[in-house]
Amino acid sequence: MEETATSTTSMQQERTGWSSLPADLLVDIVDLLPWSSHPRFAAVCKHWRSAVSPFYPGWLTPVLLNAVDIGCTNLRYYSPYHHKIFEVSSELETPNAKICCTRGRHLTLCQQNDDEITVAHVDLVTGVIRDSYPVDHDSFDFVIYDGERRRMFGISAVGVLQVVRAIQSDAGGWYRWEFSEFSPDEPKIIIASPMTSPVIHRGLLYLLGVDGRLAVYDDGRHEQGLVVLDKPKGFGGLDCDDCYLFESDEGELMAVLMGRRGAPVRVVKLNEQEMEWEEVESLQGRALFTGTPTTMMVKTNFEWMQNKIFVPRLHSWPESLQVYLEEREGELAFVPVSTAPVEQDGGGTREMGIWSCGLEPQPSSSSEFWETIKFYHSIWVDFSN
Amino acid sequence: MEVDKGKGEAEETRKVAEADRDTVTLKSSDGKLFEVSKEAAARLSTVLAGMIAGGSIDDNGTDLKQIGSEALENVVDYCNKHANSIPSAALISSSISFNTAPFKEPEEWERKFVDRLSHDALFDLVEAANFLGMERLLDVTCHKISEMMKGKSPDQIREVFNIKNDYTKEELEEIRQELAWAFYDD
Repeated sequence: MEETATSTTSMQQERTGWSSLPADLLVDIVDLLPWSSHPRFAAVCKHWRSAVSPFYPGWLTPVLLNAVDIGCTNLRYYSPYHHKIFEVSSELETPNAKICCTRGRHLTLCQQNDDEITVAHVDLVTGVIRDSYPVDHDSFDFVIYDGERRRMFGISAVGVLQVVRAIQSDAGGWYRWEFSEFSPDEPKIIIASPMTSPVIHRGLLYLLGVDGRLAVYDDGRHEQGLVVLDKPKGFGGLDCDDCYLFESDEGELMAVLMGRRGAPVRVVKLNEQEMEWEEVESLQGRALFTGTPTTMMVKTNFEWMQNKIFVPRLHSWPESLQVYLEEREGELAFVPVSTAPVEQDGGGTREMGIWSCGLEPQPSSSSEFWETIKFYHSIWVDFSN
Repeated sequence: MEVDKGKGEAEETRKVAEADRDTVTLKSSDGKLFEVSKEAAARLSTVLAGMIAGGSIDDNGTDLKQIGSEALENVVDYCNKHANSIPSAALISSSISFNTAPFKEPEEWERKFVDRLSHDALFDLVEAANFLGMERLLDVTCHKISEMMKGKSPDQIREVFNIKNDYTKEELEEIRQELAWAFYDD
């Protein structure tokens, strides 16, 4: 017994070693760890915790990027998880640009100057902006970036359909734009849903019509441009005021249909054998972030987010924090400029945070937008890789 | 007066001789002597650089009372190895984040150098490097320590580093709740 006691004492003396590493060294070590492991580091012992500085994870859910006036105002991100706005000090130097789409950490903007359009491809983390060659064109209704094939597509959808393509070089820059044929003799007319960006799905570009019809473009047959499909004929009798096209986390082509004040909200999936939209009964635990040009469906660990649909409307205006957007080992976090302690989970404000609803029937009063604040000029960004 | 002057001259001569040598001699807390490349010592350690420039290097072994012989041997070994290595492109590669100072990845030989150390030896080396102001060696050792923590739970980290949990149950629960997102996989 006594021997055991002695050896324990000598071991405890050793123990003080690592736990008492100088604070500045602990800070150096924490800085080398991915953000997600900082809380575990802090939970080791009190001294180690003192080396961990506050931050808000940026990868937990998609965040809403917003710039009231691009080029003139700072970028800010709204996090539904924290119900906070994170304001970064950088501005995008692309005045009057229109937000077109996001893909991962990349944002695509479209800038119109007289008769010329420039498309800017922005890395939101490094701030690097890659401008395309200016294209001599009236306007693009949509611009979509295909990250896999490294292509940018500008689409005109009013009256006639036309696709203009730019290919990205290995260095990240852009080759000159190439125009497809118009489709003026196309007897079928599609009125593109103005709110949603087209979607790249299985290598093809899909444009959604307000009535649920689809136009498709095949990059391998660029000259053909967009072709309106015979089927699906429509949303199968489902009415909506707004519709948003997206590819689910499992690679299915889907659309969200919303009423003018939110309810009723429905989700449909394209049955690619029958080429018909089918109503989706359940989100199967996933969360859907929509109401902006880019819509995304993600898996979530947070119970209160599961099976919920989120749009950029807030029940209360959140607190704003000045932050740096910092990357560690592929993880992005919002790091407050001020070192004051931070309240992590938004406490009890969550219910008063972002508007959401489920697919199951519910009292219309709770699933409508009444008394919510619209978060204008915003788009969902997925920093989770 | 005469004698004093003579002693002063002798010291001058000795300092010149010291300045001409390529190495300096360092003495550990337990009295062991180690020779290290002067150029590398001055380049890698701000403290040794200051001592060399200030002439406070003792030919018979500069006392480093805070550093044991095992740690000092590693420090000297590292300096001498560094004196013979040419920085590779990896040293210059910049970090991904543009807000933080670029961390230079350890080179292959530096990795191997710290990989072979026991936990105790690694700890003593970190303290020695910190005491001597050896930024590069600190980078390499801190990198190694961070690697040892990756993917581990607080319990596992405590086990690896022999650390006593000084939190109460309530305090730990508080941390877990405050940072609920981080503990989903535990």
